[in-house]
Parts: sequence; C-alpha cells; structure tokens
Amino acid sequence: MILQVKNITKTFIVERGMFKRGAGLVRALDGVSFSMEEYSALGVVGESGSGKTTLAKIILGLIPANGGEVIFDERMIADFRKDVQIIFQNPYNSLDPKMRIINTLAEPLLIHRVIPRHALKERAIELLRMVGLDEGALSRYPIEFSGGQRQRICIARALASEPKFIVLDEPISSLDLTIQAEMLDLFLALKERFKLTYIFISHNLAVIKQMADQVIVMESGKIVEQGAKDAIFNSPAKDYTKLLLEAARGW
Amino acid sequence: MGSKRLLFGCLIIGIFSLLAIAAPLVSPYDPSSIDQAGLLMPPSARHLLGTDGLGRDLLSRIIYGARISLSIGLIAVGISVAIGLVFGAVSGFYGGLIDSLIMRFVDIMLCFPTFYLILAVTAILGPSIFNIMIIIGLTSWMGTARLIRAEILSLKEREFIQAERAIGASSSRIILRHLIPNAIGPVMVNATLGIAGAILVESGLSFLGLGVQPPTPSWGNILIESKSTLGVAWWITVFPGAAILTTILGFNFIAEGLKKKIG
Ligand SMILES: Nc1ncnc2c1ncn2[C@@H]1O[C@H](COP(=O)(O)OP(=O)(O)OP(=O)(O)O)[C@@H](O)[C@H]1O
Ligand SMILES: [Mg+2]
Repeated sequence: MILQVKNITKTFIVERGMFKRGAGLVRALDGVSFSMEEYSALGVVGESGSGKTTLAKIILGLIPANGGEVIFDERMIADFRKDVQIIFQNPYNSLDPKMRIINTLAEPLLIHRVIPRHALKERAIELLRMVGLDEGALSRYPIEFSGGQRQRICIARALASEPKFIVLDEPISSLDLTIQAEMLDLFLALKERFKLTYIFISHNLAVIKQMADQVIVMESGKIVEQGAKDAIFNSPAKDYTKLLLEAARGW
Repeated sequence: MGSKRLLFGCLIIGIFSLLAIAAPLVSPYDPSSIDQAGLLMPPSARHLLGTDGLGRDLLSRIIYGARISLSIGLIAVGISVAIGLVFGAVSGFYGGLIDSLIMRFVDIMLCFPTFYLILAVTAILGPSIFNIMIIIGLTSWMGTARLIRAEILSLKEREFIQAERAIGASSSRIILRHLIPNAIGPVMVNATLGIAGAILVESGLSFLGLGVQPPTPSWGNILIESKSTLGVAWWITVFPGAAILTTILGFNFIAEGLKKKIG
C-alpha cells in the first residue's frame, strides 16, 4: 500500500453572516477511508460539494483534518513534499501572476535541489517540452497563456520534483471540451513515463472510466460506494451512483 | 486616462527630484549666502524668485529645500512601508494570536491623533532632520500594515499559494517571493500619497517651530519664515507654497495613475 487514508473527518466552521448569531458547521468529510496500491489509479467522483477537493487538500497536508490519518509508505514516499504533488481545478488561479514561467518552474527544482543551479534553465525547457510547450514560454507571465497552456505549466511544475504520487483535482473541468481529450492523453503518457500513482478527481464519469482502475463514489462527505472500475460501472450498487451514471449518459 | 496622469505625475516629480539631486549644479547661489544688495528683493533677472528676509536667493533655497523635503518624504515613507510590510505580512500570514496582538497594537497606534503624536515626540527628542524622518515613519505605518494584511488574507487562500506549499516552499519563501509581490500594488499607491503627506507634516511642524531648523532650508520652514513678511513680500510665500502644492499634486497623480493601472 503506497497510501492509506483512515477515517478522515473534516468539519468547516462557516460564519452565517453579520447579523445572524452563531456559526454553522459544514461536515465536508465524514469517516473517509481507502487505500491505494503502488502504480494504481484511483478515480474519485461525486457531485459538487461532496468533499473531493477537501479530501485532496488533506491528503496533501494543505489543510488539517479533524480526525483520522493519512499514511504514505515511507519506502516509496521518502520525502513527502517532493514525492507527492497536486494539480488544481482552476489553472487560472494556480500560477503566481507576478512570476515568469521560468521562475515558477525553477522553484521546485531549487527547493528540492533536484539539479545544480546552472542547469535550471535547461531543465525548465525539458519540462516544458514534456508537456507540449516550448522554451518561448520561459520568460512570459501566466496571463499570456490560455487555460490549457496554464494547466500544462502546472503539470510541468508538479512533475519538476520527480514525484511518485499525484492528486489531480478536476484538472480538465475548467478547460475547453476540445482540449480535454488531449490533456487526458498527456496524463496517461506521463503516468507511464514516470510510473506515477495517482488520484483523479472528477464529477464526470466518462473521464473517470478512462483514467482510473479503482473508483470511489462520494456523496456529502461520505464514500457511498467503492471498488474496481468495471464493477462500479457495470453494476452500481447504490442509487446515487446510478444517478451519476444516468447523468453521465446525458452528456 | 490613468497612464496620462501617471506620466504627468512622474514628470513633475522627476523634475523636482533632478533639481534636488543636482542642487549644487543648478542653483544660482549658495542657499545661505546673503546678497548685500538687499533683502526682500522682488523677482528680477538677478534673483529669479527674489530674495528672502535675510537677502538670501529664494530660488536657491527652494532647490536646496527640495532636497530636504523630498528626502524626508521618501525616507519617512520607506521606514513606514518597511514596518507596515513586516507587521502586515506576519499578521495576515500567521493569523491567530500573533495577528490579534499586532492588530490591537495597530488600533492603539491609530487612537493617537498622528500629528500630535509626532509633535510630542519631536518636542521631546528634538527636531533634527533625522528625527523627523524616523518619527514620521514610526507613526504612519498602520495603514500599510492593514492593507498588506487584508491582501495577504485573501491571497493565501488562492491556489497558487497552496501549490507553493505543495512543492515544499518555506513560509518565508511564500511570503517574500509570492505574497508580498502580489500584495505590493495597493501599498505603492498608498506610499506615494504618504510621501506627499510626510512633506506636509514637515511643513506643519515647521509652522510650530519643530520642523527642520533654519538655516537648513526645507519647503516648510521657507514658507513659515515668510509669515512675518507676508504683507510686503508675496513671493516668499507664493513660491515655496507652489513648490509644495505642485509636488503633492504630482504624487497624487502618480497614485491615481498607479491605482488605475493596478485595476
Ligand atoms: N474553506 C472552507 N470553508 C468553509 N467551507 C468549506 C471550505 N472549503 C470547502 N467547504 C465546504 O465543504 C464542502 C466540500 O467542499 P469541496 O470543495 O471539498 O467540494 P468538491 O467536491 O471539491 O466540489 P466541486 O466539485 O464543486 O469542486 C462544501 O460544502 C464546501 O462549501
Ligand atoms: Mg473541488
């Protein structure tokens, strides 16, 4: 097991606005448990607000959980911040707008001392080529790129530290339909090339079908169904899953 | 419109700054040398802006005064921005107890009417140029701190900052390389206005005898010295007044232009 998630719970406290007394509680995750084998691909589906991004952030240690444990196997994940990476939902928000692409790509390289300083530029170009961009991008700012191009840059940054595990949080949902397919192909190619284990989050079952071999179905913070992809797609046990499948056919 | 103002403002401030830097080269006389030919001489070919109550060349005094007044503005604001940045960034980034402490401290500082605070401290420590710069700086950082804190509070939830954490960037790296560069825009607008404000504060202090001390000329004390001769020598009041006014206008244009540019 490269990753074990045990009984994760997360509650957000939300203010109810200025004049309403007291705070509301949002139970974003409620006893979520699963585990993953090395080189496997786990798909997480669920409607908006079901807790997918919250789960991703907790796995990455970006926000604390209220209870439960996230355990990475240290034999495979020796340096957590180097070996585990994330691609966010919204590429328009995921790159520092004040930083040239070369510096954005150099950061993980510098922080983890992946390569000597003088080789930074060369490595940055390599990373860009890997995701289908060229060195012309180096001295430009995020605003000069389209959503798809930005997401490619985010992928390049995530892969810069040579991670073994990646969480992809709806990485194509904010991109044009026309480039969604090519992004998926890119992910699959990179997965092969870098022997990645990943979690692919989506609310689109068609995408999950293509990207995952195990599937978790989430509904308001709980896992309602989990298992091998084929089992879930061919004989969903829960009504909620059936509904999601119905909705997906309508696409 | 924004960029036109910015340009105009920069032009005004650029000219004054050049005059200030090149003061020994461009000023026609030594600012403290007295023309035996006469005091309170109106503008003429010999003294373009006339002479003051001691017979010193007004133009030269205003040019040298620009040095003092602009440096006070710049350095005071430099100090205030530096303090505001540190407090605001720490407060916004770490939150919790340290944030509450810093924000209460800001509230306390804001309770004092700034000018009286400056006045009191200057009276105690003495009105040297150095003291004035530092005191203005130390009493005017609160706005910057609040501004930076607010910017950082909203920035740190953004995904690019989360992405930085995910690649293992340290807190100091995130603050210095990502949060501050993204939060600095509105602060620059504020700072530009702050320079103008500091120049005015120095003039106010001069009025009360606690500004830059004569014979060193500052725009404030030149203007104030004209008080006693106001009825007979309009030029001693008008020209330094115009210098202050134009400069403040210039900084305001820059501030407005910057604001539009940042969006
Ligand atoms: N920082 C936060 N403060 C308060 N509530 C939050 C916060 N983040 C998430 N939530 C709430 O937690 C729940 C789960 O949110 P989450 O973002 O994990 O959903 P999601 O499955 O990723 O949805 P989407 O498909 O829209 O991205 C939602 O009800 C959301 O409003
Ligand atoms: Mg989400």
